[in-house]
Formats: sequence, structure tokens, C-alpha cells
Amino acid sequence: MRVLIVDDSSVMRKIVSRGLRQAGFKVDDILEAGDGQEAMGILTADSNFQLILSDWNMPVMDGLNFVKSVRGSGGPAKSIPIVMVTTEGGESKVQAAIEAGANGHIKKPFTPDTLKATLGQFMK
Amino acid sequence: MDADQGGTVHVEEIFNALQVAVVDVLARMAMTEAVFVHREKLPRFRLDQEAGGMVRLTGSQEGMIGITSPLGVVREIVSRIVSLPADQLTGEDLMDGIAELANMIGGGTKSNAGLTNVKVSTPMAMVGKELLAEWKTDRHTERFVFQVDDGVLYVLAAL
Repeated sequence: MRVLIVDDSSVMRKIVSRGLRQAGFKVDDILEAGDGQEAMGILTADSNFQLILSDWNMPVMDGLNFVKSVRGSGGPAKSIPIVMVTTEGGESKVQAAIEAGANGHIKKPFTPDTLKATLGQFMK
Repeated sequence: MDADQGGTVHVEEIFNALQVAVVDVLARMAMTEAVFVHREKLPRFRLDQEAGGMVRLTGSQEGMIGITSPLGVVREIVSRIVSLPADQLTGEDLMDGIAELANMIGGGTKSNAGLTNVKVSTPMAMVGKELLAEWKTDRHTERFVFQVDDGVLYVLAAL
């Protein structure tokens, strides 16, 4: 499986990468992007990802606009599952992300078990 | 109903929510037990040989929440968070790590206290031996002292 992690924090990208492996998912390749715009560039060149994990608050292009851009792109990346990973657990934000096309939400701090429970449906 | 939809949340309730958030974040993300030792009032705080991170709260509750600790302690905590040896951490890792800790503690406090109408800012971090930063606010600052495996972690709240 290939996963794209979108977060402006290098530490959070490492935490998510570690968490995926600790959760027992067989991840072949993890690519990282520091914001939504950089992630869109990656997806334009290579859309072979089975899951995208995206932060909410990021510079240049935030998580919500990233979700909207992917879903509106019309390309093969359009149907890749996107799960938001964010500190903010407010219902309105989660609802906004879902309405924009996100497939789920993980609230920080999380454990490998949380990742397993939330991402299991996307990760074989 | 969320707490701040039914009226103002008492500051002491937020302080309690903050302490719960600190223990929870360190346990989940750094596999570190944080034990509350005591709290004290600080009229002013100066960051000198330490690393620190903070977030601002705006909305129905205004204020600041921050963490500070000696650089060595921060290095050990971030090392556990990312599962990398401490000597392999970059300066960016330390900055991001302490900023994320502050972010998660601020977010956890908001959730635990039911502060739906509060916005937690993006975090900022200060790391470096030469750096001097001053925590100045017209609000009372409480400093909560936690013992962690590798030393002491200070959590600041001005509400």
C-alpha cells in the first residue's frame, strides 16, 4: 500500500508514519507533503495512493481546501480516501471536512489502536 | 450541550481539563508518564535556557497555554514521539515537536473543558540556547509542574 501524508509538521509526519506501522498496516511506501498545494503537485504526477492522511491547519493550502481540490480535480486521485488528522475535534469542522469529501477524521493525540480502528476500512 | 454554550466555564475547570490533557498527550504520544507535582502563580516568566511552545485561545475564553522544559528533556520527549534516537533529531524536529505538544495540550484542554466556542491558534515554538523570550500577559499565569521520566515539564496557562 502507498500512503500520502500531508502535514506542515515534520514531527507529525513521522508520528503518523510510525503509527501506521505500529498499527500493523503493511505500508510499502509513504510520501510526504508539507501543505495541500505540495500534495496536489505529488498527486498530479502520481496518483497511485490507497490513502491520504491530511492535517487541517497548514500554510499555503489548508486541509479543507486540499480535500476540495482533490475531489474537484477530476483526475484519478479524485477517489482516493482522505482522512483528516487534526487536533480540533469540533463537530462543525469534522462535518465541513466530510461535506467537502473527506472519508473520516482522527483526532490527535491518537494511539496505534485508534489508527487501526479508523483506517482499517481503507488499509488492507 | 457543550459547556460554553450553557455559560462561562470556570477557570478552575479549564485548569483541571489542562492537567488531564497533559497526562493524556504525553502518555499517548510519548509513552511518558507525567505526574502533576504542584502549581504556582507566576506574574512573569522568562524563557532562557529552555525550549517552549505555546498556543493562544480566542473566543469565549481568551488566553495562552504553553509548555517549557530544559532542552534535554524536550529532546527526550520528542525522541519518544518520533521513535528516533535523541542524537538524530534535527533542529526542525525539536521545533515541530514542542509546538505539536503545545498544540495537542491546547486542543485537549479545549475538548476536555467543552470549550466549543474557543479557537486554538496554530502553535509557535522557541528553541535555542541563545534565545530569550518573555511571557507577558495581563492575565494571571499559573504554572503547573509535572515530573516526567527525564526531568521536569512546566505547563503555563494565562486565562
